[in-house]
Amino acid sequence: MEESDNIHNLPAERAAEAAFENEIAKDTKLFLNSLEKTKVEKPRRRTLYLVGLAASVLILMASLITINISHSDSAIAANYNINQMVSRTGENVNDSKFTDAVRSYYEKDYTRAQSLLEEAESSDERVNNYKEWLSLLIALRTSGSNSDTFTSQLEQILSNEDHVFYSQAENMNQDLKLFWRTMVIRK
Amino acid sequence: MKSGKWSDDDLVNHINDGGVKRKKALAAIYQNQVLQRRVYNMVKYRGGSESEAHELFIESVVLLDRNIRSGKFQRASSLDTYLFSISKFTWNNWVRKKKRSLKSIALDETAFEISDHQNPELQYITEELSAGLEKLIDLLSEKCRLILKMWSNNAKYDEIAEKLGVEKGGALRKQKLTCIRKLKKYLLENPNLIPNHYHGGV
Repeated sequence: MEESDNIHNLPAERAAEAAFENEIAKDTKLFLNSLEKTKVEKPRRRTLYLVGLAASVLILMASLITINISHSDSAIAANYNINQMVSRTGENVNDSKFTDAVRSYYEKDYTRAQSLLEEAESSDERVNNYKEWLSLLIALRTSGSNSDTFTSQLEQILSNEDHVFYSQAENMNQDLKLFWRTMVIRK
Repeated sequence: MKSGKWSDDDLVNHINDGGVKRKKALAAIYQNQVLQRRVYNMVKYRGGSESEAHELFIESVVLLDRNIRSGKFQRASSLDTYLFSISKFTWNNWVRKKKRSLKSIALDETAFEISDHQNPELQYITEELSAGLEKLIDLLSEKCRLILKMWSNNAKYDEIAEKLGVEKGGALRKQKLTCIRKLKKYLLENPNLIPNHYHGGV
């Protein structure tokens, strides 16, 4: 029998086409439903992500800048200003080499300051304590808080509870070990 | 309809091309906020819910896609007018099925609002029939299933096109017709597999 004469010809054709279309329609609906989620949620989420990301970056940058400014080696050295200590205790260190070294330190001539400190020979324990503290500050500014020079000098002061600058050394040690400082500042 | 950067002609051509282009065109139509709101308002005005409006809009896009590919859309009206007509016909059909009373406008009255050239010639498939049709897909060859996937864009278009040795557009349509003919031939040889729905001259 010719295909065109077959009584099932039209039903078979319709069923075959419908089977294809039915399958395509199912997938199309799935696709359109997935667009709905994208359309409603994605832009909002994207905006939130971007705002959140931008805010995080800004906060991080601000934190880094703040930590670098307020907790850098130089900033800590400046906080433990030797002149302030001298004026606070009311004591007068009468040693020309030492006072020249202090002057050079504040003129930021650390090489000369260190050289003058080495030249200054004193039998006065108190003056020697001041010299050690100034030497520590110079090491902090020149070699940094992670250097062996600085670390050994700090440990030396901390090992002597009678040191004039013992409590300051303890405070400095705590400042240097601040969590965020250790995370951010690597010198 | 201007869905984003595409004109009606662009959308129709892309849908006929199948694959990724079809998917993008359907997304553009579906994301036409003005049209979507128009359909939603129509449903709301006739007593439907938001979820029904959503379902109707998706169904309408599916039917629009089918009518474009089968050549039933003659471009006598714009795509958005045509899709809105589909939505109204579909909604009325749903209401009839559910024997729902209309809120303010009689069914016959709404049907007359749509001119003949806008008649979307919709064909509805029940869930039962859909299940029967799904079984027929199992009769297809692997190649034909891949072609079907290309139309649905469930597979990477270029990969399948390369695998089948076909090009985009017209060649794909020919392949699809060939597959339908093969399925038809198989059904003619095994008429008991044809769902009853298609024996009644519906």
